[in-house]
Amino acid sequence: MALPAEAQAGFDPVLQVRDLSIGFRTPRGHVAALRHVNLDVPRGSIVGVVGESGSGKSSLALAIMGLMAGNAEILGGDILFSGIDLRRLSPAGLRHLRGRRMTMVFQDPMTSLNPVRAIGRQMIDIQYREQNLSIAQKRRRSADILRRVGLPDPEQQLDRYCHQFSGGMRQRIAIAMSLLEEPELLIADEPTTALDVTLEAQIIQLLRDLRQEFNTSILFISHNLGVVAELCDHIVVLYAGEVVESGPVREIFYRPAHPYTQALLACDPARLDLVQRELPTIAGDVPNLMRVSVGCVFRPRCPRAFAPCTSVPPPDVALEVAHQARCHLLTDKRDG
Amino acid sequence: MAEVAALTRRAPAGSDGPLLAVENLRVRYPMMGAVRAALQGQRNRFLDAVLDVSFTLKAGTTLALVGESGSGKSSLGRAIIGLVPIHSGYVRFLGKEPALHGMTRDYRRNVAMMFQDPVSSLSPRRSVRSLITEPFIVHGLSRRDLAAEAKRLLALVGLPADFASRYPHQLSGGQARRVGVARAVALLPKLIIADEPTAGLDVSVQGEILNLLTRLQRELGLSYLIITHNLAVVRHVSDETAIMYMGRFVEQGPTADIFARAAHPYTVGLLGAQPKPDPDRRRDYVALMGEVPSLARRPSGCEFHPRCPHAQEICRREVPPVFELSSRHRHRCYFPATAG
Repeated sequence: MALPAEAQAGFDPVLQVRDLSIGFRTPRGHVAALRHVNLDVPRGSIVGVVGESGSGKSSLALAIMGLMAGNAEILGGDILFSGIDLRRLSPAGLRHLRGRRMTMVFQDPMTSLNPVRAIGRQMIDIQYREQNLSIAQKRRRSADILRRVGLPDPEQQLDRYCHQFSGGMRQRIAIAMSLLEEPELLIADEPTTALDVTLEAQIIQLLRDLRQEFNTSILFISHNLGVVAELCDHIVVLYAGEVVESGPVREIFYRPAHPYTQALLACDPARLDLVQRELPTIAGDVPNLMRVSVGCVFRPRCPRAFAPCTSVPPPDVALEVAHQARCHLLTDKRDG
Repeated sequence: MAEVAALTRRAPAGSDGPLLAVENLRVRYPMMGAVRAALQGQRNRFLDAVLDVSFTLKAGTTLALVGESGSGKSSLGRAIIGLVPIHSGYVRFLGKEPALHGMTRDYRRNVAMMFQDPVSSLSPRRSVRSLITEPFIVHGLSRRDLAAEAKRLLALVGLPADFASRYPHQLSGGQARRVGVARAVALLPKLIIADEPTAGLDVSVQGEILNLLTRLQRELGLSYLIITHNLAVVRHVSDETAIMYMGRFVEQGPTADIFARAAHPYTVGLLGAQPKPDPDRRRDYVALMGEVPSLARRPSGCEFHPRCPHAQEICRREVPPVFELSSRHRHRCYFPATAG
């Protein structure tokens, strides 16, 4: 499944996800949450994973971090982090990477920060690996990183608790904590969904600056097309557990190839130039992942579905450099 | 649907006047409990969540209240329906003042609320049938055929009839939202206050819910007060828009005017901060820096001056009055971006 650009020498991905499938055991049966997912994060780039609720984007992030729920299992595929096969790593080996070389920022900082510990304490706690540093030195490092993410008076802030900060400040603190060890990969799972647009703009700007400063690669998970368009270099579109399209940001936004990507873009009210009361929607519902059909996963909702979509799994069709989509319509076009 | 048509044709009393008129409304919250204040021997301090808000809403139209978190938009919605006490000012519904005599049952029947979080606002232990027929029981209309009413309401909001026996945890976000809509329209109200009706929904589902609200407005002659922070949606669904900042309306007017000729620097900043779903059109980052100050430390003069790029001496000193750009387009800024 190597993309053309990656075949070239010098391609140095931080993260490679190969043919990853994840299932959940539930009382009512097996849910095929992710099926044969491929994804690359080149070093220093920001890759966006876009999908609606239930598309499996959070499952993907948690699988990479080794934080999956107890009833989830990896059914096949590989996750390579800087060449290290994460699936074959021992729990201790994974702990060595996690929180240091790869870190994660969650959606809601109110629930990801400890409410009964001052943030300075939490930031000192997560530096437990640095045995050569004194508490005072760790505290100074914490204050430094808080300053880098734009928190005023960081020395004083260290003694405050998470409820004493506003939502935007809390998310800045969470990002600061994730950057403390200068990770190679930062996974951000909807980090701006709980914030107002004005704060969202500031957090996006912060992530962009931090990429420059730390050369951290970012896997940015979002359902907000506007945010992804602004921040990401490369976009992966997930639908019902499958990557239906992936490509450079301009390809996805200007030349979307998959009918789902096209429908998703058409639904965004911010993209409608003329005012209209009746807003576009995608007819139908997300498929039940307990019974995945043989053919195309988007067929029941696709306005352009035809005979092969029901019975034949659509192939990944390469369109442009690093742009591919999983759709029968595209093979048809090629042959014709 | 015949019954629906008959009820909507019932002409509202005083149909030339506005459906809802709010005048100089103020909502204030005490900063500590009365007992604690007395114990500490100090006078209790208050913060004003809604300050000096006036507007009117015509029957059959939609007003959007837009603002960042903490701007007082939810407090205003809750004050109108009587969930938080009004400190001063008036709410008049069809020319009458329900707040003076406590919120009357008639008022509560005519004004319904859709709450912010659709799942946590539905009791997890009640079936959808029980949830959507609850308004009839509360209002003493339980002699009606509730099963038939449930069927009618589910059809009205576009849910299959067998959803009546489901429980909230079996619903998706969009379906839970539809149940919220069914509860709100059950008693055929005249006004629905919708607090963030699409927050947390995917774009495709967001469109479905807004289209449902638009269709019900057309069919039942509803008016909406939509509380939201999503300006991209406001542009399409509302007739009038009010921008709130620290409890005040800093700008209000027809939606098209607000988007085409925004006067207040805060409105300009909010519009500039909207994400642009286009990789080559970056949003305007410098537009609004910093965050909303705490209501407990309300800035002097114009509340927006600490974040305003055009602030001058007078803005720090004096609260700007309401300026009129046209009969309906008003703002509170000494140095507006667009002149009349």
